[in-house]
Amino acid sequence: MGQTKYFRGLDELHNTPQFQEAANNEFPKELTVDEFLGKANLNEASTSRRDFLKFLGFSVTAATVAACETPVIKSIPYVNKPEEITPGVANYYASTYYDGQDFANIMVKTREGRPIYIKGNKNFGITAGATGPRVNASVLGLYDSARLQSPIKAGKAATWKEVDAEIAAKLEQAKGKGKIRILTSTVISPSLQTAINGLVAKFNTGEGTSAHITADAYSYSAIRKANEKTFGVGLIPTYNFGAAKTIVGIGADFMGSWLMYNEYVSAYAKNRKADSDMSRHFQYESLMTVTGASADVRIATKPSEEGQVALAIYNHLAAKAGVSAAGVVSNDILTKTKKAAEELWATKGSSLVVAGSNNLHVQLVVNHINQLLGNYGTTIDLSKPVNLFNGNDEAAYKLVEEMKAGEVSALIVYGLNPAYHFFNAADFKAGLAKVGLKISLADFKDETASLCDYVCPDNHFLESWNDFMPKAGEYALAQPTISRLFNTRQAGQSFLVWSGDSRNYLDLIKETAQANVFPKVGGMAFGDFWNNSLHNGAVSFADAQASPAFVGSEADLNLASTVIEKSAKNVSGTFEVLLYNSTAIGVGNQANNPWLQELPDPITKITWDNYLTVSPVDAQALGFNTYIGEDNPASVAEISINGKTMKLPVYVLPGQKAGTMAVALGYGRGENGEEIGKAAFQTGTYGGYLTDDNGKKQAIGVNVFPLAKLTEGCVAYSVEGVQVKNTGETFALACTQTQHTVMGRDSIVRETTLGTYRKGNREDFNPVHAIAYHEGGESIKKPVDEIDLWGEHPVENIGHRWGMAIDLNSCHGCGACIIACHAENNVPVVGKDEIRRSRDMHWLRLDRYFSSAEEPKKLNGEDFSYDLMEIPEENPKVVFMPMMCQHCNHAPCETVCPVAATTHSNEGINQMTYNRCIGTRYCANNCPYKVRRFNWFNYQEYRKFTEVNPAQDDLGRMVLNPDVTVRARGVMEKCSLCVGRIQAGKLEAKKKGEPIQDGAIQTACAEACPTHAITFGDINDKGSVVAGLTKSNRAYRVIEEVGTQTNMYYMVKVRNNSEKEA
Amino acid sequence: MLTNHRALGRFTKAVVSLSVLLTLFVTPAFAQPNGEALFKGNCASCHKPTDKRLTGPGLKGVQDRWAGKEALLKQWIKNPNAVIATGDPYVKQLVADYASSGIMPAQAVNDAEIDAILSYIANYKDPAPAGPTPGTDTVAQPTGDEDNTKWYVVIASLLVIVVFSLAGVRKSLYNSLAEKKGLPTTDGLTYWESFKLWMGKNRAIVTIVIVFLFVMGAKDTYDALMSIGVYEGYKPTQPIAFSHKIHAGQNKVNCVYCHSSVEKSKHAGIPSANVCMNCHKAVQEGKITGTAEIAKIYEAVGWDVDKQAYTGEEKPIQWVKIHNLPDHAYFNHSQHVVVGKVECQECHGKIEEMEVVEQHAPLTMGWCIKCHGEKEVQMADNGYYDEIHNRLTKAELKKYLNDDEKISVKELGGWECAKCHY
Repeated sequence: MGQTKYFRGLDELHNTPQFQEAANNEFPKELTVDEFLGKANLNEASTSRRDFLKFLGFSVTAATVAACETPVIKSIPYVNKPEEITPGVANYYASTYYDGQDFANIMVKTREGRPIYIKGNKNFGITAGATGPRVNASVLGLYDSARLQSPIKAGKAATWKEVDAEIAAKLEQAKGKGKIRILTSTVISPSLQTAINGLVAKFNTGEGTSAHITADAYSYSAIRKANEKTFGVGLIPTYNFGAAKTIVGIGADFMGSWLMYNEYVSAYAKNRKADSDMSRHFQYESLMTVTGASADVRIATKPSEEGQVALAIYNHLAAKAGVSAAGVVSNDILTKTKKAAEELWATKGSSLVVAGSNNLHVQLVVNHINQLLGNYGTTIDLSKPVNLFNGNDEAAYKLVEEMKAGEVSALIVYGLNPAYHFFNAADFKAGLAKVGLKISLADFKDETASLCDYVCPDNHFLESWNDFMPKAGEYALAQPTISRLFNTRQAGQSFLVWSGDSRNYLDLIKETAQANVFPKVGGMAFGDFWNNSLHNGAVSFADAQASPAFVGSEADLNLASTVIEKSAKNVSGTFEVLLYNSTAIGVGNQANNPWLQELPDPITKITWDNYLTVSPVDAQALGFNTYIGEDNPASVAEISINGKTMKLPVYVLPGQKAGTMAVALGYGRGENGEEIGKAAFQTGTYGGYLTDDNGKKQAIGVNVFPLAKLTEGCVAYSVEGVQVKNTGETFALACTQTQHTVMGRDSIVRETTLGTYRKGNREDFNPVHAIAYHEGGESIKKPVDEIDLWGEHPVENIGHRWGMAIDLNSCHGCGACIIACHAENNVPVVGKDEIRRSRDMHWLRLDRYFSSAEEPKKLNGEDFSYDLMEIPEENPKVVFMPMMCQHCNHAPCETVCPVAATTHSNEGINQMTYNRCIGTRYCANNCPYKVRRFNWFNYQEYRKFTEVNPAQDDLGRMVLNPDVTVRARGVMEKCSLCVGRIQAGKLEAKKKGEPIQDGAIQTACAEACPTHAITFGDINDKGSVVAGLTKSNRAYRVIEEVGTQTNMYYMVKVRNNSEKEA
Repeated sequence: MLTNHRALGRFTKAVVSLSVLLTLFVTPAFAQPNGEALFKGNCASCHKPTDKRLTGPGLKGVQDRWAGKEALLKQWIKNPNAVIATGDPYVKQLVADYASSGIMPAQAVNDAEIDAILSYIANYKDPAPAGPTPGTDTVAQPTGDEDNTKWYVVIASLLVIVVFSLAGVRKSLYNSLAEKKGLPTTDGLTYWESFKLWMGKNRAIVTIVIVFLFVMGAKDTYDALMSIGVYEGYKPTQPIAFSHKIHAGQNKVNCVYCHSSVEKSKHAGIPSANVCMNCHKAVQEGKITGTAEIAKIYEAVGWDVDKQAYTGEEKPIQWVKIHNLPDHAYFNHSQHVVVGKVECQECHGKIEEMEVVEQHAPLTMGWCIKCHGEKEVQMADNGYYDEIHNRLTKAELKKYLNDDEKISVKELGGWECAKCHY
């Protein structure tokens, strides 16, 4: 045995010289430390490693010591404190928002004289507290440092005195030389109109020498024209969606953008409650809009077919009414409209048909339909005409022609950005070059202002006095909530100064009120009337105009039907493109508002861009990428018509009518690098702007206004015969929700038909969750509530239990809640690149789910395919679901936090303690609702966000809510249930010594919801609305089967369909 | 310097009180009208007995100005409008000069009383010397905390010398004794060597001392770390040497008079300068700082003392904030003062005795929750809490009241994170 030799290798076995050397030299000295450090290249560095460590140690110590130094904090009280201001207590002022398109009666919250939050005025005014996201977000615009800070003369800052003197002189000169034109958006302010009229009169030397021309960024002039024909008055009536039992929308997105959608949406929602009379809603549209998503029946229709749809409905009704039909409509469309027409007829006198098309003939047919149905005087009020959207497309077109012909000697532009908004903006710019005196009153150096000789910046609306007459008999006031930040002047004042009127604009407003409004209200002294009106923000008074009689002629109708029949011929191989107003950006007036840019589109969930929506069928045919994700950029399409070519990223939208596409207007602002605001341009991965080869900042999205065209005196926003091709290029889109369906899960969104719901069997539409449970050796099903791993949590009946009931029936996905949450909770803006990485910070998101044809198979226990389930059906149903922290009583996040940074309060709130959080993100991992947001960066400091985050701007920072912490990097954050407001509300009650009144405390989202879909309150308060709702048959909790016992309840969505229609 | 003033002030006060006392004793029983009391009661709100202007002119030398028209002066005091009607040129000028103040209201005094007032004015001597010369440091420094370090060092060095001398004496005594007894002497050993020798012999003591020092060191380090960001006793110099001791202590001005938002808002509020002017329009001189500090208020609000009018030039006062909470902590004064019925002094210390305000409480979270853990919720006569009680079952209520029969803030959720952090 001793002969056995073990060896480590052949070297050792053979005992080679190399092995012997290695064995003797166990620690080879091939390179000593000294030799290593002695290397020449290392010596080149001026610091040795040891020095480096010394420096490091020293600087860390020094920094630590320096950080311990207390900064001296100054506290500077007012010298003369205004009586109404108490530092630390918010003041609210009633005011009015109007930007030429959107109108809303608002309340402005100010802290120490700074407006920081806007909400609707629930008690006064026509919008009844409803505001869209654009109105809520407009407070941020006040603090935009790119706003003009003084009048501008030839590109340089000037003084008002200087500018006024020169303008007065030059206007005087221009008087003889040619026409003087004032171009504005629709003016609904009687005082501003007086001021403009004064200026027009001053320079009027003969017929048409000076004139005021009105144009709207997005025109509705066809409605006025049609009413001119059928009623003899070119008015826009008041539509009462709340009184309509059957509503048919033909391409009219009346909940998202059409006319006074703010007003319509709250009335509509009141009439869509599952437990009372619920209206029935048919929607014919090409693009999937929020209105179509809420409809009971949505029928995908091409924009070019809208006239035929109207005609078909008319003919169906005519047959019932026994009048003669107009024109011939294809059988296909007759079938599609049969049901709608029948139901309209059944609810004669309380139905409503509206059309979105800006085409005179379509609107004319619609008027005839409503007349046949007897809707005038019931759901359509002609005695309360709307004063908005009074633009005259033809006059604007004529103005451009005059300018091009060199006939215009002076042009004053206010409230409008024609070099961007006009479809013939190129012509406008060419014409502008020939105008002698060009004055803009824009508050930014926008596309038009940058081409003008003088820019006389208007105040921000939160710095202004104004009066408005949105409708006959409706008067509203706007009051300044902050003193002017810059050396700007109110437009009305400028007009007064230039027309040599020495009056102050505020005095003019008071005079106007005293002369025109006060006599109709009366009942008090004028001073009291004024103070009352200012306090309430709006006054309604009887000012009924006589309803004009119907004078529509059969000849007009027949002409319309002939035109409609002709236009129905579509060129094959081409597409129809609809230009629409998106919820966030609208016509682009607030394209520089990062809150709005980051607000996901209600349907596509895309932020920071516009895009071409393409139907899945067409996308497949054209080879577009159908799935968009972080690693899947969108395909880029090239669309061309009439020699105009544009490249747009493609979003494949379920529900888009095949053969049609759509693009949002309002993007591509600042294409030529105009200074319209920090956040209005594309930014790079590490901050800074993306520039083109010439170093010009790249605009966000593409301006598609030039695609519109003037058709029969109205601007048409649907374009036919568009060539589309796949460029093969790609473009990254930032989408917050890339999945489309709920994959047949029955515990996330629940939807039923009114037929099923009315039968009252909860198991049919809102079954209680039961899970398999082993008891006594048997597997039984037990309701989730009866199985619990946890100890009882003392929330019910003890103290408060804050919670919400969210009615999926009322939520139409607008996103006003997201903006309100942004403003209330200092939610950071993160920019497109971060959104693409799924690092959006919204505390509240609106999930949108499309239905899939495959899902019912799973629910019915048939064979199904998960792959197919991912694909929405061709004309899917859409459900919106506001999703925020569910405040689980048995919260999965709380148990996994290693430092107890997230804990439960005895009032049912899942609390997040930022200063304790160490950023493990276990909680976000464990959250079944995925509502926790992690601060990857110091958004208020890091250079990546300099352009997009308002908190990085000294001025922008003023919008922050001082009662809510600005979170630092590396901590988790999420919906706090507006705990600051809850605490404040409790304190108010304790100070008064009274119980909290139901409704006294509102979260920002509940307050902002125009349809009251979100009800917040104390579930332990037996009498509260929310307590009642949580006990409703429709109430359920999301993913209840995991046993999280949330305090947030959702109400099953009910569509007004019979059981069969589901 | 200021101390001198104060001493002087005290001296004057003493003299004045003494003279008042003397006057009291000397005053005969059939009291003559008391000029000083009458002046203070009728005139002082608008006039000063010196030549300084208040709402009305300073009255020093008033008799000289009206010389020869004594009767008219008396009538002027009793019924000014009648005198204006006489068209006297001096009166006319006077009315024009003080147009902004309006016309003096008629005073209900008789001629004898007027004489007394006039004689008081004539004999009036300004008790306070002219205020400190401008430009000198007038910020009130609290007395009695002079820097004594120098003396400590001197005493310590003396003690060290004494210790070493005693050690030397002891050593020579020991050595001479050892020599006598024939024991080994420590000659030739340095102090250090003999110390080492001593350490070798007394290991137990050395160990105890080392452990003691280590523990002390650790404690000091811990304390030092824990005091980072804790500014108890923070007492910054303020732009105006405002004394809470004088205002809240001696003059008993209610805290809420100036800190008026304490019951409404999260902030107690630093009074705006116009609140100061409510009193300091009349009180133009302090007993300690003279006019210097009050002049700073005037500068801030833009008050021209001579013209008794606002100039419109305002310069906000930049006070140094003493109580600073971190941004992530929400604190509401009104919650504590109105609902919790906490006295100001419980957190701010004896503010009415502070010449210069300092941070009394550590304002640490431990300090906050200690109080939240002990303090009973003030539930009596508060409908809010009644409602909360009504919702509880008896068993649950009993659970809350458990042993101590009271409900602390903590028991109502006062230790929950989102009560203060959001």
